[in-house]
Amino acid sequence: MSASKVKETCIQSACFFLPFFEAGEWRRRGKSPWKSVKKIEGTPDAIRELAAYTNRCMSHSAAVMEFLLSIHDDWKITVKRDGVWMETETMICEDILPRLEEAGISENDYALYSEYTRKWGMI
Amino acid sequence: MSNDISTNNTKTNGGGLKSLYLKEDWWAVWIGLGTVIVGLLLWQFGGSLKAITVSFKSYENLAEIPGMVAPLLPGLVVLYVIMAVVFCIAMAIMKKKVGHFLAGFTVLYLMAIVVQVLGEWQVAKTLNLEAPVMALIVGIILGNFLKIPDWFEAGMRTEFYVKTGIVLMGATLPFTLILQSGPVALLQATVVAVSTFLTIYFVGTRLFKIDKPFAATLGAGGSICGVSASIAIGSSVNAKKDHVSVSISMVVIWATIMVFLLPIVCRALGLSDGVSGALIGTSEFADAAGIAAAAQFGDGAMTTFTLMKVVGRDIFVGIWAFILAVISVTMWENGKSADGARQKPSAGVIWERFPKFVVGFFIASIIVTLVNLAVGSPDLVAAIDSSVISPVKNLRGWAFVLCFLCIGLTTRFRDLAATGWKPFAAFTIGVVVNVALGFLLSVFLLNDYWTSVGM
Repeated sequence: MSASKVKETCIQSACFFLPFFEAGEWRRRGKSPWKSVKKIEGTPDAIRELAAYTNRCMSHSAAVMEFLLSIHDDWKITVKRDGVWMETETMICEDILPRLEEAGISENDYALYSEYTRKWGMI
Repeated sequence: MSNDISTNNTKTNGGGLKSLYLKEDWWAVWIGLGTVIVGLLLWQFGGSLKAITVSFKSYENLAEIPGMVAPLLPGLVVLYVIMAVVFCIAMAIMKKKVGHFLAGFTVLYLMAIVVQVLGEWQVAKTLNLEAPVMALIVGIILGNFLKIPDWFEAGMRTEFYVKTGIVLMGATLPFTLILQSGPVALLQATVVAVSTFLTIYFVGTRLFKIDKPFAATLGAGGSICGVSASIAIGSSVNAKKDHVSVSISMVVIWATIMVFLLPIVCRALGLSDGVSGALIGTSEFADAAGIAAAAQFGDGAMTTFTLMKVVGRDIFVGIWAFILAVISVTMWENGKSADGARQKPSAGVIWERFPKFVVGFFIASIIVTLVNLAVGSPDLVAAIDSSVISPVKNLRGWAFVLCFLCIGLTTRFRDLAATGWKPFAAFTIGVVVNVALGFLLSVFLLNDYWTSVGM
């Protein structure tokens, strides 16, 4: 099947979640330190480590955000307590993912939700 | 970014409490339940919803049309104004273009009058061309041969009308019947849906070597609830855009064929209304198309269709989405850098994908059942039936005719994706299994049961 022959019957919303408190632990079946924050030893060093971990996560998120903004300018950006949502309907994720890979951005730095809606009425 | 078309599938747009007033699904619930509650209040204070309903009478000669329609004109205007105001309020709050919607709705309403009038013609009835089929045919012809202007497109909200109609349908089905027959419907629907999904999935992946997410998206469209399922599952397994487009096209092609084919088979075999509805509910995978097929029979067919489709199948789309999202991440991706499944699965998806109008359907049924139980006396129950349930059925009929017209007008075959023969073959094998199993269960194993439910 040639992709060029396929007429679109749906709209894709490529939605990237750039987390503040995770670095892909869910993918490795691990737990973000923030999820087990109550169990950590309450020492200044433990808190510093958590701060460094969070700093790394947020820096990664900022870098990914910067990169996504550099390759496309039509994003709907929503900042929430646990991360940034970047959503676009004008560039599909099949085109974005190779660019992220080329730029050395790991899939641990984001979670991708590609949402679909009908392009026209239909059953 | 375009936001003209909304379903219950978008993740971030209007989630949470905002979805209560930003999503079509919830507006169908508010409008449907509001109608039922207003009907009950009017009855309580001596009035009736009948005041705003309009029915057309049968006639033999086309020359009788002016005489039949003229006395109904004031009622038609009142109904138009009420529907237009309610729908426009919903559109305004959902941030749609109200002017365009009103213009489109007005034309659609006029067309609904025309197809209902033509559907009452005895000649049309003899040819089984009653309003539902007439609306579909008129819509398909106009939609495929004329250029539909953008402003008219805004009024064609197929899902909005069908969901509102389904909520109203809840008021006409006793909750006791749903409790009694729901489990049987659920069992039958689950057997057929799971078998069909697995057939399409394994034929697709093993025989035709198509991608697993693609096969799952195709399988969902052919087994759960048509386009809505393709979209929900395609999103859950991060299927490629082309693959979701192809799955939607497969659903539209086969659902359109089934709208005409299944009623012909039911009539040819002389199946009862109840069995016809059960068969259509099991084997027609799209809600709106299924209702168009079932509406060609009596109320019994609508009852068994709804039990099978809404209670037995639609409510599980969220569970399917969650299970397939987990399978996609844990098994298909399997630690490799796969090209699709990158989202983090969460059980929240079960509610996120749940078709919210089904909540309205159940609540409407519970409200009317409780009121009937509370009043107790058979005379009062009959009065409620006449003053509330009959008008609700009439309004439901209007919502469905609007929906059938929209199906026809928006099913443009030239705009469907080129599918390729492999997905087409996999999907078609699934359709054969779906229809054969549905027929076996509805007609051979549970014939007496569905006949009695549809009486």
